[in-house]
Amino acid sequence: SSRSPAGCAAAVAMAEQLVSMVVGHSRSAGDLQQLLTHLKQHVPSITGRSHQALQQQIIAQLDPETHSLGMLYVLEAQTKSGLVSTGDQAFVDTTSQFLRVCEPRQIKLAPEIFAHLCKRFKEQVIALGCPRLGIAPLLCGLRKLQPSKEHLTPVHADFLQLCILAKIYNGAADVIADDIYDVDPQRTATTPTDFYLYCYYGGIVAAGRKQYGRALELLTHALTAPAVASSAIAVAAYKKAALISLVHCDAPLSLPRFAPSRTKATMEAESKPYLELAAAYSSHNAAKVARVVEQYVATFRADTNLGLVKQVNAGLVKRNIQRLTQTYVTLSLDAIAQQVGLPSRTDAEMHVLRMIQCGDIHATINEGDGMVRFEVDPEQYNSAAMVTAIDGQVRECMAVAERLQALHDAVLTDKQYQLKVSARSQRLEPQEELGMGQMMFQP
Amino acid sequence: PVPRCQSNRACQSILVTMTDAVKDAVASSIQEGHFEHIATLLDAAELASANPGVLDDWPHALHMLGHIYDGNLSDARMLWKRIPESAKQNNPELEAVWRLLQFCWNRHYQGIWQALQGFQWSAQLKPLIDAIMLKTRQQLMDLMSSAYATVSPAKVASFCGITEDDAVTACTGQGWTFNALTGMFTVAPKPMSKEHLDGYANLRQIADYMVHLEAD
Repeated sequence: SSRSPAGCAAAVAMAEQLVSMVVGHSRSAGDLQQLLTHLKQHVPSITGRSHQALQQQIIAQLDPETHSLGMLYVLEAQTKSGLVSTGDQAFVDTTSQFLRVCEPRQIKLAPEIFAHLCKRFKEQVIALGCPRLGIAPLLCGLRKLQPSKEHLTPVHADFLQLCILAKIYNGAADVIADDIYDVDPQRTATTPTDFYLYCYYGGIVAAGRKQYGRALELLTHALTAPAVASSAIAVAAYKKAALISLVHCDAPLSLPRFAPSRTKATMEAESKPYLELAAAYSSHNAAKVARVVEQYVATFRADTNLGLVKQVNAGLVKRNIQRLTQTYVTLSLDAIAQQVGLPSRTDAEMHVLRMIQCGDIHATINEGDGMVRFEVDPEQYNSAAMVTAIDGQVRECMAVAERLQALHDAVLTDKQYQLKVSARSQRLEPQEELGMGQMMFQP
Repeated sequence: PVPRCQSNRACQSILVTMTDAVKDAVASSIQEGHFEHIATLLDAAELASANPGVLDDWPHALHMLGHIYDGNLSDARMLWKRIPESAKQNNPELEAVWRLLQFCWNRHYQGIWQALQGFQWSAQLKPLIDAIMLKTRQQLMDLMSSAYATVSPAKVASFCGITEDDAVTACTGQGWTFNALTGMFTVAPKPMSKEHLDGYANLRQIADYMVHLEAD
C-alpha cells in the first residue's frame, strides 16, 4: 500500500523524477511526445487522496507557462483526488492562473485531459458560489484549445453555463457570434453532449440579449442533430425554440425535413402546453392566448420560460395590428383599438408609434383627425446602402458555396469513401444480371 | 456640443475601489465625452476582478447608465439583476436609474423624460445624463418626423422633454408648417441623403459574382 514507508518513499522518488522529466522535456516537439508518454504512464500512480500533499509539491515546482503539459496532468490528477465539495479556493486560483498563461501548443497534445480539467474547474467555481470568477479563465482555455475559431470544444458549454449562472450574458457575446463549422473530436475531445449543451446554452444567451434569430439558429442545431433517442437537452431546447419562433417569426416552429423523425415525436409529446400556445397564437385571438397562458403558468415557470411566454403575449397585439394593414389603407385610432382589443386610442397610438420605431410597420399618424394611414414600404432598393447590403449577402452565399465545394471534394478524395464506392460497384455488376434473370422467370 | 465633466476629481471619487488604470480610463472617457466606452470598460473590469464581492462597492448607477446610453437595455437589466440587494438599499440615485431603465424598456416616452428630468442627479452622473437626453431627444424628433403627418406642439413637447414654446421653435426650424386653425404642425419629410453610387466598384462586384458562378 502507498501508506507504507517504502510505498511513500517510492512515490516521492517518482514525483521527483516526474518533475525533472517535465522540466527537462518541455521545449521541443520530440521532447514533448516523450514527456506525454511518461506522464500517461506515471501520473496515475500519484493520483489519489493519499498523494494530495505530493501533488501540491509538484505543482509548486512547475511553471504554468513553460511546463504546461506536466502541470496539466498533475492539476487534472488533483481533481480526481477528491477536492473539497464546497469549493477549493486554492485549486481555483491555481487553475485560473494556469488557464490564463498555459502554452496552447503543449495543452493541445492532451485535449481530453484539458477538457476534463476545465469541467472540474467550472464545478469548483460554482461550488464556491461565484461563477463569474471562472468566466475569463475559461474563455482563455476555450481559445487555446480551439484549432481555429470555427471549431467547437467541450469548454464552450462550460463557459456559457458560467455566463448564464453569473448573469453576465454579454461576456459570451464574442463566443456566440462565432460561426462553428467543425467539431474534430480527435483534436478537441468534443462529445455529443458538449454539442447539445453548446446549442442550448448558446440559445439561452442569445435570447437573453434579444438576438432571437441567432437563438433560433442555435436551438435548431440541437433539434436537427442526428439522434436515435431524444435527450432532455433537446426537449428543453424544443420548448424554447417553439416560443422564440412565435416571437421572432410570427409562426409556430417548423423543423427542417432532415430533423430526426423519431425524436420529433418524443419532443412534441413532452411539450403539450407549448403546442397549445402555438395553436392559440395562430388563431390571432388574444383572449384564447391569455387563457392558455393562465392554464399552464406553473409549467412555464418551472421550465424558466415565463419571460418568453410574456413576450409571445405582447407580440400578439403587434401582429394583429400588422394584419390590419392587409385590409385597410386608413383606419382611425379608435377603430384600431377596438379591433385589436386595446383599452383606448392613446394605447393604439403608442403601439403604432413603437412599431414604426422598430420598422415593424410603415404608417403615418394624423393627430389632427386621429387617423392612421398605412403605407407601402418606401424602400426603392436603389440606394448605395442597399447595394452594400445586398453585396454583403451575395458574398456570404458565395463563401458558403465554396465551403460546400471544399467539403464535397474532401469526401470524394477520402480513401474510405473510394473503397466503399468501388466495392459497391463491384458487387452490383454480377448481381444486376442475376436480378434481371430472376425477374424474367417470375410467374 | 457634447457635455463635458466639470471636475476630474468628482468623476474619480466614485471609482474608489477599482484599479487605477480602470479609474483613469473611465474618468477620461467621461471628460472627453466618449460615453460609449464606459460600459465596456466597467464590464471588463468586473470580469477581470478576483474579488467575489466586487459589486458591493462599485459605480452601479454609472455602469447601468453606460449600458442605457449604448442602447443595450438587456445588458443593463442583467446588471441590475446581479447587483447585490444591499447596494440597492438607501441608494435613491440607483433607484432613479432603475426607473429610467424600466421606462426605456417599455418605450414609455413621457416616462423616460420624467425619469431623466425629475431627479437631482449627482455631479458625477450629470454629463452622462445630459448626453442621454440629447441622444433621446434627437431619436424622438426623428421618429416624429417619420411617424406623424400632422402633430400638435404639445405632443412634440411631451415626447421630446421640452417646453411647448421650444417645441414650436424646433418644429419651425425643421421646416414644418403651422396651421393656426387646427393648432397642428404639418410635418415636412426629411430630405434623404443620396449617396453617390460608385459605378466602378459596382462593376467589380458584378464581375466577382460572374467569376464565382462560372467556376461551377
